[in-house]
Amino acid sequence: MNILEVSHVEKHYKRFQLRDVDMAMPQGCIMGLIGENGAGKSTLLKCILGLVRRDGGNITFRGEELNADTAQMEEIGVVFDTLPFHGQLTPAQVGKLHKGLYKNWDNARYLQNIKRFGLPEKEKIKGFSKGMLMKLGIAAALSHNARLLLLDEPTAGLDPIARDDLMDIFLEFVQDETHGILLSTHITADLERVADYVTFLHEGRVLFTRPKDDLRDEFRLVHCGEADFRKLREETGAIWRKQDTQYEVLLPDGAAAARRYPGCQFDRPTIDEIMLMYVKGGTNS
Amino acid sequence: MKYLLWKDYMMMRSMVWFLFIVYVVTSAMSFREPAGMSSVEAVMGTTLLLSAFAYDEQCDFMKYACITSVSRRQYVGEKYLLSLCYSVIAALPPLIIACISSLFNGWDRIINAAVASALVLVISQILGVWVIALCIRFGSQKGRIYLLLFYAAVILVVLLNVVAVRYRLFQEKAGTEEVVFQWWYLFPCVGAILASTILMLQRSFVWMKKKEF
Repeated sequence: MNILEVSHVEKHYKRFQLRDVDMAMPQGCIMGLIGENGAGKSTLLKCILGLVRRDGGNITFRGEELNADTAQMEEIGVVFDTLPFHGQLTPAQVGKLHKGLYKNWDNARYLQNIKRFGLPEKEKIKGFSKGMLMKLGIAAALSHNARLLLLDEPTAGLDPIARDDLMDIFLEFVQDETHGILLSTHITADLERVADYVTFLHEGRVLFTRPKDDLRDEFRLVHCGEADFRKLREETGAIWRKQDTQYEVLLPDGAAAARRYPGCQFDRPTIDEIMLMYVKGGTNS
Repeated sequence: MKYLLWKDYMMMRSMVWFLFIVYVVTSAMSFREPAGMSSVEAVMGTTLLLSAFAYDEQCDFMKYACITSVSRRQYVGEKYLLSLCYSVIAALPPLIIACISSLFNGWDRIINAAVASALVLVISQILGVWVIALCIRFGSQKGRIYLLLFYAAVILVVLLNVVAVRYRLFQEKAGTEEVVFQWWYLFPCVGAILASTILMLQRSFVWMKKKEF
């Protein structure tokens, strides 16, 4: 069963359009939402959360049409890149406030999370570091029995240790097979570690949504000279980019191509490299 | 809703001393005439409401509230409740001062004070409605500017009303008797203000429902 399904979602602004966005997220998985700045990641999250009205399409949560004004929102935990609480409050007071925001609020679990993340309960949050603020947001999101976590750039500005801590928390959350995480991020190294699926948005469209392992197994990046490039560019879906005197060619069906061109060196691309090639590379079409 | 009220109180806690001083000063000034300085306290309420919205905007709390179990209607309702709390707090000092004062100067002061307090309550609520509606529609920064325009419009409407009535009275009774201005001559502008406020009250819920973040 899919925990979240987005079909044909459209949102039109004057200068930007989210067009025909489709994706399905199975239960028990972490889906990474990637794309350059302005690709539509935040707009898509806002459409899912009902923070903007969509101009078309459907969004379902656990098989039911998602309605922002219903109890379904109890089951969705959200962490934005900035903490939505005033610096004068302490984590304990943030917990008290949440009693009024969520009917299923579990303060004991929240205090447990706070303790586990090493956050001081009675200090004002204005003195917290970025990593501590993120952990506080995640502690709150994990304390109202949410099944789906929507995270908008949760690791932006965090040091590698704090990011690693958060990734552990995410992996633990999806141990329960009825849970899921949709993680919008620029830091694709995090996704390499935890994501099961990757959805790539570019200029308001979904370029692909696939299991991360498929990307690793199927995509290949070739660094070659002019002669090989002329042959490789004819491959279906090839994307290329000139780097000084060399060419970089990304092949979506690279494993098969590798057998046809035994003389070339085929590497497994990182998510970053795939993203870069899709955004900056040239194609036959 | 009580937790949202509590949150607004926690954010404003740092302003409590400032408010206390304002209330003490205005109450002391209104010791002889309770109605005199009540309007200052009514305007104070709008300042606090604007601050509440500014604090929410600063940390994107309005957006966050909209994705929790709190409905948009409840969020607006809480701000009206907050406005009512401020109004009651603003209306109480003149009444208390008048009660103390009446012990020494006669009971008629209590009636004056009750009327003054009721007026403060109404004026404060009218301003509260405008603040809430404008802040939801335009945000607290632009809302502040539009609120000033609203103040200017109210003054203009009242002045026009007074001038029109005085001119008519002058035309009708010139040379025959002294022109006496009655308070009920202001009915048209009071009606206009009340009607526009009711419209704003309704719009505040509609704007919140349609608000995109």
